[in-house]
Amino acid sequence: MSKALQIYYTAVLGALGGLLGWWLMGSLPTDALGIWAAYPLVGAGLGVAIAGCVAATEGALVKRRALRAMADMLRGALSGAALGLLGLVLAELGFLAIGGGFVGRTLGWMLLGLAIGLGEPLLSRRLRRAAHGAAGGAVGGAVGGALYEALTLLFLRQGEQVQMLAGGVGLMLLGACIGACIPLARYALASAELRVLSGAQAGLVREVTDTASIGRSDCCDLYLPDRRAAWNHARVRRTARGFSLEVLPEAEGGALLGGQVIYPGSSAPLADGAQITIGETTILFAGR
Amino acid sequence: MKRVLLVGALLLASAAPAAAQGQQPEARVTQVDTAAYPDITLYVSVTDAEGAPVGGLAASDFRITEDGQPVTIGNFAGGGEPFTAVLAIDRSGSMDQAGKMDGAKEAALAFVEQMRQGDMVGVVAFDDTPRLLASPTRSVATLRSSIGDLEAEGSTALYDSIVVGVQQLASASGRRSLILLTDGRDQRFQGDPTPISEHTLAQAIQVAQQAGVAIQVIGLGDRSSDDDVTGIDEGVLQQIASATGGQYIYAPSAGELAALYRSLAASMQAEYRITYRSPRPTFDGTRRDIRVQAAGSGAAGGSYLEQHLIHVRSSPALALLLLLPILGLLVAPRLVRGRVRRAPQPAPAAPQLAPPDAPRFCDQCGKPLRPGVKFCAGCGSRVPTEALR
Repeated sequence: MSKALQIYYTAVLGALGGLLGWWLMGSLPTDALGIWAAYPLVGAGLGVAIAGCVAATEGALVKRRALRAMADMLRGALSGAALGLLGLVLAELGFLAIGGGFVGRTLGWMLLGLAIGLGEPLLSRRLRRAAHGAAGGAVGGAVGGALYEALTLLFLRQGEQVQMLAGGVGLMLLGACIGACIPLARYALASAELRVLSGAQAGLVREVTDTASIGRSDCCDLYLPDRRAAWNHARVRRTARGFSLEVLPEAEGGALLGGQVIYPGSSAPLADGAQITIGETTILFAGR
Repeated sequence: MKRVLLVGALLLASAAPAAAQGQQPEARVTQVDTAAYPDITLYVSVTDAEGAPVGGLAASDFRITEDGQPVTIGNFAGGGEPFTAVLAIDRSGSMDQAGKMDGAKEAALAFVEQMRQGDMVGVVAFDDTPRLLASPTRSVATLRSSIGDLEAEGSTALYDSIVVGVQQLASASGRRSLILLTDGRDQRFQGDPTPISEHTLAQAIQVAQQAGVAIQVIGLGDRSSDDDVTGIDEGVLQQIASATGGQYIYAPSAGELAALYRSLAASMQAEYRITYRSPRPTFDGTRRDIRVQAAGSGAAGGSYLEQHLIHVRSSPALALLLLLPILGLLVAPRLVRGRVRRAPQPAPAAPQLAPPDAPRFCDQCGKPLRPGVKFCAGCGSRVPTEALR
């Protein structure tokens, strides 16, 4: 699956997350609580929905493994709950500090987007990936927040139903922008990428931030449903001198790197344009 | 002749508004309370041309609009509402000169003497640091003794005193006011422009804005001199007043302070408290613009920010409606790809269907095989497929 399509799907699922969050949180009687009691709850709800859906995209639509999608969704939801709670409270504080208005609302949503973008990679302790995601989330939150604000102003004097619908559409747009910008930022800020040239996953592109695991396990960053690939076959790792390909001991078939065999347990440096063959799959390493 | 008429007409035209202004009262919104949103409480001060409070107005004399929409007045009180005030008094060393400290004490006492039942007053004195001499209390005796103890010595921690004063008012409900008196600027000592307060001017102003406390600032004595290190900095004092919704008043000497404080107390006591329900009671996080007109006065302005960044309300029907485009977008790429694949399949396909499959026989038993089967119908052995050969 091309990167553009992956980003598209993440955006659509982000919009779904925004819609679910709006639906669930909107059914709760938060009017009775004050702002500072309601917003942690609403923030957690929005975080769970958007982060959960965004995290599940890869498993559901790229790797097409239902259990992987559900496991990722759970991790995303967990981090989304904590960070969404924090994010919305900070967003309201930012909104009030600026004195509201277009800038205030945009800043507020930017803070929520930043919090959601930090989420899942922070949980798996991939700090640089989390930082890239946070940057994407911030941009997505700002853009989505600006669109949400424009919608609010447009329908300010309309009836209750129209305003409710505008609120739903606004949160969907917010989810879509956050969903689109998180993978976009990770892709744009990464230092290298792996492109599958042949085999079952031909056309798949995966960016490499610090490490990327390759194998038949659906936990791997580059999931290869190839009969001759091991569960955890290889790893592309950033070193002081660039990137290197590390073939793991359990990978009985080894790997081919530009015609040379890399035996299990050894590694070799990766140059830009190098072709890696694992099982029946050929992968191109593109450094930037 | 024409020129005389023209000049005469111009003079008349400029005189007319001035004459009208002489009779027109002036209204000012001194406080906006939104704690009970969508019920909004305004405090409005109405004064005549000389600055004396205009009393006896009724609710029907007021025209109030919010964002251009007229509102219906709910609760109306024509003066007599209790207030909570904090007097912040400069007691730096320079106040010792020209009888300024005595004048300030006399003025504070005059203010306190005018307290009615229910009014609360606190006193904060500041030199190097602000000192809370009396937290807001109804006891006139306590206040008298705190004020009597004031002595001048030290620097001027102006910004910190604002923060302390606002904190004292934070828990008060109803009309709140901070009255700040200074004869200098926030600095270590005369001749050294380094500020002595821990808070900056911007921070102090933000604290007051967030608490919704308007600060009446009184500048006393020397206006800023050319060397910029002595006297009051009127720019800063005016900024404090206008940023928080208060007023800046200049008093050239201490003798006028008592009368000034008395009129401040009288004006607060004569304010009208008006409560109305917002014509747009939604939680939409927008800034609302309020205009108040009292008995033919010019329009007084006020504003407030509705505080909700987001207010989530949903209905299952709308949610299902919005789900449809998302499902459509999820399926769209597959449909597009399907159409793209199906498209270039015209004529070339037809000839390929023409040649019939060559008949095949089972390797084991020799029986003829139907095309496409994987196992022989006769002996059941596997038919080798092309890939395995």
